[in-house]
Amino acid sequence: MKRVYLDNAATTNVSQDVLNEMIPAFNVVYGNSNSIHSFGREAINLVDRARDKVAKAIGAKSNEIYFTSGGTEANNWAIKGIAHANKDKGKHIIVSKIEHDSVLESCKSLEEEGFEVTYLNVDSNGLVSLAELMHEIRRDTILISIMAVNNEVGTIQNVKAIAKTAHENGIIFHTDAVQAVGSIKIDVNDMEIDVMSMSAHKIYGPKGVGALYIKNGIKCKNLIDGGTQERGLRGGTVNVPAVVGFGKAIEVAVRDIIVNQQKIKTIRDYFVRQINARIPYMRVNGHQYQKVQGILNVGFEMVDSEALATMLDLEGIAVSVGSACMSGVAQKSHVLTAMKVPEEYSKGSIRFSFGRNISKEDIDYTLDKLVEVVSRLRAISAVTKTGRAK
Amino acid sequence: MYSEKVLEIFKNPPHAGGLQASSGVGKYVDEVSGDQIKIYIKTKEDVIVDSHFKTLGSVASIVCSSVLCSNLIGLTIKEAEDLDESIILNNIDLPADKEYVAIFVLNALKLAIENYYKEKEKEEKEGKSKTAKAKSVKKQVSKEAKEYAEEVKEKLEEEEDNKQVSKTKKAFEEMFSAWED
Repeated sequence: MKRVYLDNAATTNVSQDVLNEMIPAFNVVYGNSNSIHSFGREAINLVDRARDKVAKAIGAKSNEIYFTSGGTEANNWAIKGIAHANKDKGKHIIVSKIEHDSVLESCKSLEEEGFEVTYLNVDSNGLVSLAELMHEIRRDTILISIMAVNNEVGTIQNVKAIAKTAHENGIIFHTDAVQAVGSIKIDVNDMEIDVMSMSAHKIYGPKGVGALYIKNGIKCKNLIDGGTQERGLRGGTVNVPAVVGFGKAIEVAVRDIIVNQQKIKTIRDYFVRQINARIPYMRVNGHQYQKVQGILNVGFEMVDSEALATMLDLEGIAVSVGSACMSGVAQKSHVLTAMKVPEEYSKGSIRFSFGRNISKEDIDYTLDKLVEVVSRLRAISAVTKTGRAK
Repeated sequence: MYSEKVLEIFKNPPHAGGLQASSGVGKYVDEVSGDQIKIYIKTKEDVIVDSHFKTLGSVASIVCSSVLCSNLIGLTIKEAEDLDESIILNNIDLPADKEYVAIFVLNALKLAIENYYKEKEKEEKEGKSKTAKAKSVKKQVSKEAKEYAEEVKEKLEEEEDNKQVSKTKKAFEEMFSAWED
């Protein structure tokens, strides 16, 4: 059976050039990067070269990059670390309702400690309103955290404007850029970002590695105790091969960003046109223009997203229901709910996320199967429609 | 993760689709998940002879609906009323976090049985009133028929009388004309 992978926002394959760069770090340069001997020095050299690449990719300084186990750890560290380090100034935090669970759950955990959190609404496109943000800022607000790109619908936030607003009020600004890196150009200085979370496996790097950018001068308490690694801010032996892979992956992603995004845009636009023409009662969720090319969230009426994704999987096509972290749990997408996507569409919404290796043949196969399975599920649905589709 | 067996049923679920001339239909809507399950039953002398479903829901909802329908056939309505979710869960290996879906499907069955009883009651009521109506119509008809028969009899008798009168008249006339001659 043909297999098509359209879940690149969940994870990507490790590309060959990344893998080639990583292999020597497993068995040739295998020292502990924290050791003082030559084996250790060789390892720390590789780690620092990777750190340079990550810093360069986002316009930061090398000593502002801290490697983590991934995006979730980076988000936890940023939210809790900034809150704990700045609690003498206040205990109020502002985030949006459509943040990744690693941000939302960190906030819940802080609320139990006595912090107050304001969850900002988004509009039907998934955008945070600057006016509402300004309205919610208080004297004791110490942190604003708004994701750069939403993982479910791909909407790009007005990060620079939000960061400016934060700074005008003396507030630290953090952004979860896990889905943004490699999809949009990021310059932390130009965008006035203070703290930023990143992950390697969304950009053809290995799983289990990410990074937190912390601008020099920003106070952020460490999350993991018990080691002097990462300048004493993140204990634990550095996963050298993974860090090396991340360095290579982000270097390539940023270098090829325009070519890849153009290719994905062409494919995505063709895909949307075809679905529109061939399947009635559907809608695209998210912003029409202010979005990354790789993420496409589509709602189909009269079907259930899990059933649809499973039916596609049985045809060899991998897509996602909401975010991958949520699949298996019968709950409505908090993102689509916040965007007030009508129930009949959010119930049947699935995410297609395109990678740089996708072909037209894969897309045509997916389209044919999609038309077939939507029709099969609608035939046995308890909800039917009569009349012409809009 | 669903088992191979669950996915096999999901791929081509038996009893999917509506049922013509059903004896009862129940639709359950779960407000939290938005799942909607419709169960159809067809009976013959209180025994379920066929059952179908139409479901808007997850893989688990569709498979549970199908498994329930397969296991309903041959049961009496009374037996179906007493069923619990084990009728589904004992026949399929669902992931533990999906087992709650069986309750939705059972709820739809309960609504179908309720609907069956309502329809039956309605039919019975309609049946009784039909008999009463038929009796009164019969009574009315027989009364009218009797009246008509009486009328006809009277008419006939009248005709008969008239005939007799004219016959007598004719005989007298014949007799008088003979005398005149």
